[in-house]
Amino acid sequence: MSGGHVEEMRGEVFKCQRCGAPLDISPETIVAICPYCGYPNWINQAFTHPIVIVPGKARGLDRVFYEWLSIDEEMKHLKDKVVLKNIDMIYVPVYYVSVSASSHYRGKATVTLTRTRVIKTDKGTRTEVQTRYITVYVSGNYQDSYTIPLVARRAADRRIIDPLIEYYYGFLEKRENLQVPIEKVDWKDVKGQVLAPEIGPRDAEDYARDQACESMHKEVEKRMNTEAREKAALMSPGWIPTFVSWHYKIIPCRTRIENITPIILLPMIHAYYTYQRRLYRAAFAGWDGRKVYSEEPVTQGARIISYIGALFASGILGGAGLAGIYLGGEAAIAGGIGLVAGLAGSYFLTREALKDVEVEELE
Amino acid sequence: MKRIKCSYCGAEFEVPETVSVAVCPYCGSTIWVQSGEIFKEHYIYDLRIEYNKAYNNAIGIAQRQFAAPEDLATSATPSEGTLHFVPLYLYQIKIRAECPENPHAGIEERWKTVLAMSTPLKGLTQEYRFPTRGRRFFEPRVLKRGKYHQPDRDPHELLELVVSSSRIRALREAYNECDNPRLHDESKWLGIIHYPFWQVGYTYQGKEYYGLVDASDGTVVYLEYPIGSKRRQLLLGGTIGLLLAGALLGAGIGSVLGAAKLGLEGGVIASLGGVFNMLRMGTARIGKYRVK
Repeated sequence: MSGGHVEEMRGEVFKCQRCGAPLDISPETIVAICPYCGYPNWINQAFTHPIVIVPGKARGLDRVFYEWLSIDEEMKHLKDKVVLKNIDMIYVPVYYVSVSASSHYRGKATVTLTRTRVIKTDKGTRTEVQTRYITVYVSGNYQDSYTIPLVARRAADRRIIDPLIEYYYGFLEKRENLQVPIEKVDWKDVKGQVLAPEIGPRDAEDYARDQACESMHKEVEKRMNTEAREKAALMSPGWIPTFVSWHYKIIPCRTRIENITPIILLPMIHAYYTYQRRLYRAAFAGWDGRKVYSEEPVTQGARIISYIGALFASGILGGAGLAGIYLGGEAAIAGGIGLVAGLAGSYFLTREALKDVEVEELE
Repeated sequence: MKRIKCSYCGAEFEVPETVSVAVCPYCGSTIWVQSGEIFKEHYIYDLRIEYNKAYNNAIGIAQRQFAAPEDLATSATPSEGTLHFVPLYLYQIKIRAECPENPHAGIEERWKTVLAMSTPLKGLTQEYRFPTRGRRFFEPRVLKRGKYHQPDRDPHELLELVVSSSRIRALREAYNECDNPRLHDESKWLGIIHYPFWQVGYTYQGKEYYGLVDASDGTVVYLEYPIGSKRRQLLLGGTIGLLLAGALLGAGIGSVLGAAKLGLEGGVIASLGGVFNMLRMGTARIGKYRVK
């Protein structure tokens, strides 16, 4: 689609600053990468940010798909009835932002402690559970670093893109250099549509700060609970801390951006295929063809196994469970758990047996 | 119905009484009904998926369902293809809670889209994740391609609903640092977006089925499909098998533990978890698929 309507709306003509080709601009465009020559045209001139590209396979997208078909444990048995419907490559813009987050936390909690006492009486011994409450103050400093990946794009299908970003992060950590500055790449080799980045680096940093604080908050809460228990236990030897209830918890979050990568254009190969006219999708990393996401048919064999599992879960767990309840004592508790596990097993295994798709993601 | 005149092209057209923002069906201008003012922030999503592809996606997903008849994809025939443009309101949430020592003690910043129709299309719910980014400026010529729906919810009332939870979140964050944070709320209604959906219909053995496909990215949002008669038998047979196996295996293990009757009952009780799933699918009049 051309950028013509933009001219109508704004009375402005957007043309590539290097080759003069018309550019496709949407209201969110912060940088338009010229589809003809690859030159990044920054629309908001207030800032620029380096852009790099991980070159994807220039040809042979079909081969990536068929290779997966022939090596995948499940798919190789189904491949004769698989029809590739559509396969294409897109470049997804992403950032990785490293954030250091710190907190000077404090809080006040009441910890419940218990101990069991064996009491001797004339009729023998009996055990008694005693409870006491201790109020403690907890405070300290916490600091950690987080790397937050972020798609500089509308929330397209995160289920497919997230494993791709995750996979590429492994390459970044190993410092395997796959990236080329966009100015240096020979644009004729870039096959595939480049999705224009829609989120600027400042917004990306804000988002990363928010995410880092959220992660840190969880860690600090865990630590405060542990500290409260430990403090209470120290004050009353022989007692075991059980519950912690908080009067207040103050966890401020201070963040500092340590690093933001260039906008990295990651190639993703996206395929639609059918198996006996059923429709499924698969996605591959564009640089090495590794599968990062796939939807696969549920085979007859897998359905039967799940169904048989459901039969046994209901019969064995349910049967032993109710019988156990009848036996009483400790067997009753195990029996109750068994009965519930049987019910749940029967429910979830039949759901497995009847589901429409098997989703596989990168580990 | 109320008759209004487009202040841009002069055309007259009718809109329901409840409508506060109307889109002129002739030139595509967005008009405030009360004042007749032309409203500029009107966007649209690209129609990237043609009808054939939408139909094939729908049929491919229908065939994938366990209860669907084996020959569904080959025997079904397309009966309907209507393109709908569904109105959404776009909001920018921009809230900052300020403490004396930290001006950014609580921050909420994002975009949000909300369905602007009070009677949405069948199968389309507020939970559907409309992308807030990726829109482009509105082009009147798309009007000719599909059925255009007018927004009829009050955009300002909805803004209150949209921001209230974000305000609470920002304040809650700020309470970590001070007792009386000051709230700066610059959230606003940015405009209207029209989002395309294909309504796809198909016939199988003389009966009509309905589906809704996102025409911007091809996602099958909602789909109805027939339950194959062989599949129905299989599901009912499976249900009986599950109950029987539960009873037998339960009785077996129960007798080992010295309570055969209780074991049998326990096995039957536990199998109800699976019976529920299989009966629900096997006795349904039609199957329904919803995107997760």
